[in-house]
Amino acid sequence: MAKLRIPLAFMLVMVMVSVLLACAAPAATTTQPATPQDKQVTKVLKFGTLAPMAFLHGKAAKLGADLAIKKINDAGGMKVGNTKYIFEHVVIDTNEFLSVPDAVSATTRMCTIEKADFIQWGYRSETALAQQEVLADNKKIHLAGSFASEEPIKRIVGNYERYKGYFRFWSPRGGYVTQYYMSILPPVIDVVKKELGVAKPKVALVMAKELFIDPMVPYAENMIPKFGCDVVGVWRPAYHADDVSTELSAIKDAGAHIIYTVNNGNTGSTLAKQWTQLQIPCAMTGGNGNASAKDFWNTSGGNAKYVGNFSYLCRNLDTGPGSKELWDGSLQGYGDTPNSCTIAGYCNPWVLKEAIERAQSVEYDAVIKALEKTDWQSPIGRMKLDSDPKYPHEVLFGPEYTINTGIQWTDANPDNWTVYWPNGKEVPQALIDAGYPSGWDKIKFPGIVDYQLPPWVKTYWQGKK
Amino acid sequence: MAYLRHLFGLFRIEVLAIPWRVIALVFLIGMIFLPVFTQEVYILNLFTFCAIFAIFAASWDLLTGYTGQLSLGHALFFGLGAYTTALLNLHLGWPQWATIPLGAFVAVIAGLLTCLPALRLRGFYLALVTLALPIIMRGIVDATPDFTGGEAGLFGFVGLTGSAVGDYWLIYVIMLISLAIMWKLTDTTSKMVRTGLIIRAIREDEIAARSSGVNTTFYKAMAFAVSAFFAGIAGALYAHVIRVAGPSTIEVQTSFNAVIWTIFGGVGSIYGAVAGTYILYSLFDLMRLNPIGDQIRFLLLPVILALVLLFMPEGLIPWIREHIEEICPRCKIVNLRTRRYCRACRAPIHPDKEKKLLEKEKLAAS
Amino acid sequence: MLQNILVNGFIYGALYALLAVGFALVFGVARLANFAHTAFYMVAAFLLYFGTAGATGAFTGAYTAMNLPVLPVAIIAVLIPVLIAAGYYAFILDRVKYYNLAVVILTIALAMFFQQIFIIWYGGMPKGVNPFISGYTEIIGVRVQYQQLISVGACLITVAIVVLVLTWTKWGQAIRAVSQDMEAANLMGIDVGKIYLITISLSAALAAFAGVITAPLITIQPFMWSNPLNSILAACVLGGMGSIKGSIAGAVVLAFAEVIVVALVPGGGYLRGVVALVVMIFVLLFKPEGLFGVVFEEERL
Repeated sequence: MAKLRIPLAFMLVMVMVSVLLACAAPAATTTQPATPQDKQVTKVLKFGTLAPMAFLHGKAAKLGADLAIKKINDAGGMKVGNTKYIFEHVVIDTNEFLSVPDAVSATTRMCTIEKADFIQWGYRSETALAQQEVLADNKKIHLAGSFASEEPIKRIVGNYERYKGYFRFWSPRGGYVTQYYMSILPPVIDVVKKELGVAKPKVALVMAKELFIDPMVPYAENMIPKFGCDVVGVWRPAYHADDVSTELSAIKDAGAHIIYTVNNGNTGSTLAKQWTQLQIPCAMTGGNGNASAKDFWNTSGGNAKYVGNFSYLCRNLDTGPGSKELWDGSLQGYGDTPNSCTIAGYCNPWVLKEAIERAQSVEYDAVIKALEKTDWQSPIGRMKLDSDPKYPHEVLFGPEYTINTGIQWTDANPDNWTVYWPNGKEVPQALIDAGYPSGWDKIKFPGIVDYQLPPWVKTYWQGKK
Repeated sequence: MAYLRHLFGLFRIEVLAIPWRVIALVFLIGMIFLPVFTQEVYILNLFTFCAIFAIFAASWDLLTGYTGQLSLGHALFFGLGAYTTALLNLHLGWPQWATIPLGAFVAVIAGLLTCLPALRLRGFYLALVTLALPIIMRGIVDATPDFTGGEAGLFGFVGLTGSAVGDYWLIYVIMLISLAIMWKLTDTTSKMVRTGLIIRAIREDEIAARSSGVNTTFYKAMAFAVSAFFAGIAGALYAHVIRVAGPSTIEVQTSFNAVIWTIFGGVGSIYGAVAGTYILYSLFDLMRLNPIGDQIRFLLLPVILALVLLFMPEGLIPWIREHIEEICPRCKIVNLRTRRYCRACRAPIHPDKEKKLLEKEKLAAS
Repeated sequence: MLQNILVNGFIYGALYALLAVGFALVFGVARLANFAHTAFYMVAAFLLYFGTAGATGAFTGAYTAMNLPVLPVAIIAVLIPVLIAAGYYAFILDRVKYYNLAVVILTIALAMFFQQIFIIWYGGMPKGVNPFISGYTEIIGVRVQYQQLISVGACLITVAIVVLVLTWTKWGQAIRAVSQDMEAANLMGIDVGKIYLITISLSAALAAFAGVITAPLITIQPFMWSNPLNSILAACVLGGMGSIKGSIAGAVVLAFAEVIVVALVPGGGYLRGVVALVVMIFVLLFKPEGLFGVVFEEERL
């Protein structure tokens, strides 16, 4: 045995090394051979997705881009002069939620080895900002994923030449982030006032501890009283809290009628689950990142009914061309509802295609010039860049442009979400005074219903009376 | 001229005759000239990170491997270096060559403060304290987003040199200097610097060291300070290369990375920590080229760790060394294992085997 | 507010106590710092989810429903971590157990291994298990789920059983004998190796049982092992490392500390984990033997 030990250990090392090497061997790259058409030259443009593929963000972003690219290529690609361009989708896993150096190295690889022409990236603020430096070093057009930091906009304002390749084609501009979650609260306040007969409802804020939520807390504390409500307290669980029953009990003690929450980690699932289980007598709405996923019904243990949430897309609302296809394609493609990552992934290739055709060029500067003049009907509404010099390269948000919706869960199938906002009423004056776009009473969608109060809320407050 | 010849002779005896030193030398020199062979930014960045993390891993090794102070929160020093250099650069606009040493200096202060519990605790208890400190610092970072940038970290400060090649060379040179200093400080055979011997004595038996008149408090504090200094340097360099100083620098994972690389390469040997970092970090990055490798690489990590700890508890590099080198029993000079007689004194290197061989020869002769 | 702190502090205290007892047992008897303790808790919770809800294919992402009855799944979910723990101890930890660093690293490695498995298997999305009985009741004005009552009751009973077993049975006495003086116990004819194995299995069973009964209360995700680990490490240090009595007391004190921070510090819910660690550092600095601990000469300077 003792004699065998050394050769055995040696063999073990060899096996380990060979396994490692085998895993390190690059996979055969699957380049689709471009089918030459008569007299036309076909060239391939590489569209790169840098996303954490072990997480929903990555899967969603890849699927959105896959859907768009397939559609664009099937329809004949882009024609620039005599050349026909088609997209090729290159995906590299960034692993950004677990390791920042991994993400930076993946970005370098995408820029210098894969040589992608256009890149969508950015699902976690810390890594996204590190990656953006690499992307700007390499002069790539980079389109934002779902991270929330406003820093890239400040970077463009500060140094246009270096950072002009940055665009964000999926959401209202950063300055509105605090407000657009807030805009889905007034319809709920109306319902509470009407059905529970309370003149001045009390609102409890459950804001997870995350950077993009930090500025929302004082904002909400200021704004909600202007909606004719009282704020009874702010609770800030960790973004990955797996138990909030202490917070919920305190909220009930405070006599709140409405829980307004913004969260993004699994706090959302925990909150919904324990809210239903403990029958906390409050209506609940807000930006609940978890509740945008189909899996929310499972993660909350089947306790998702009556949860109000913010959404870009719903099956029941025709917000723009392709919205239903994107919804169905997303559910079939990876079995989940389209979230901001899917929408960004879907819009980015389309906006690029449109810009390349207008610019009649694929050069860096020319495409940026064309992208700045984008005016395109996306699944979430008309996309046009803001002319405000403080918010360069961000899309406009408002009744005529991209919009948001307030939805409510009804059963396990997210196809059946009911939409309660925009309900044909104007947002409160206080929001408009704070710079929020107005004119919401001008857009009317069919099939809007009121927010449904959970039955236990009704019985509790009617019993109180 | 004669002096040069003497040097060359020394070089021939001390380096060329020992395969391990030849490999190390070829590697170190080859790495200097890496940018001459390839200008690929991806490769350069990969090895830049390797060099930064090598300093970090070696600094952990100095504290835990040599001095025996079990630290599971080395990311605290790394993160403090990163945050300090970023803050000074952002708010005061100081240049990087001033802020990086200051970052390391702040890390040293933290190291000395961490040393206070270490004077009372050891082993598992010290590990608990050091494990907790970065998590508490993460709480502070979360609680003061205006100052520390919270979850997104600090950004917008300058890069290191502005080019990948420049970054690579600068960091490589810093790594060589840092490693040389750490190696000298931990060298047990050195006649000039005795710290190596003393900290090893502290690791083996602190009470015995103290009773032989060694001021163990001073030397422990020194080990903490030096280790924190180099971890801080690594963190500050990292922040300037990646251009963000965020909470990922103080995550538990960052601490464990240093532990994993060092244990893989070899605990208690600076070269082991460096080799472990270079091998594991670059391999893990290369594994991402393959989709299956990408999925399973973090699964492999604990498996590799377990195998290394079980079958080569000293680490990969000392294990390999052990199997290709043999110290002459008479004159204590390192020899290639395959040799039968010592290259210096001609004494048999494997006396037991030699005896058997001689007996066999005698038998054959008779 | 006060009632809220009392009720929730008690609930957390019971859950932490169950986890902390297992950790303290292994540390007290085998001198092993088992950082993978809460990983067994996570494995059990995931197995319960896997059996009762469904499974996601590792690379395909397709979802298959399992919908098995709860009780057999729960039993298997406790048994599998026990087997893993016993196997890991017998084949790996046993060989390095006198080497402090190696034990810490190897147990953390095991926890990371499970974390990665579940990331690959289920992705980063959190999961939820349905409560065994839904509904709630009010205790001194605070709403408490039936599930919480079941879990707390199960925790208390289990902890009581463990204490009784350790005090009155032959095996329990053997375990305590080994924890007091391993060499003397060995000389008295106790098979120390076997006692170590039994202790590790028992501790893993406690962790897994805690996972099964708390799974319906919380969301299950691959990182769920790290937060309770901090709390129980702090609880064990506070009570005195290796002391069963101390770990229970420490768990209750820390649970109340955490609940008080969540309830009283405005917007301070995210500081929950930090509180435990701050307490731990202060205890280690000023009273390293904890509330009930014994001073081990070889571990002090």
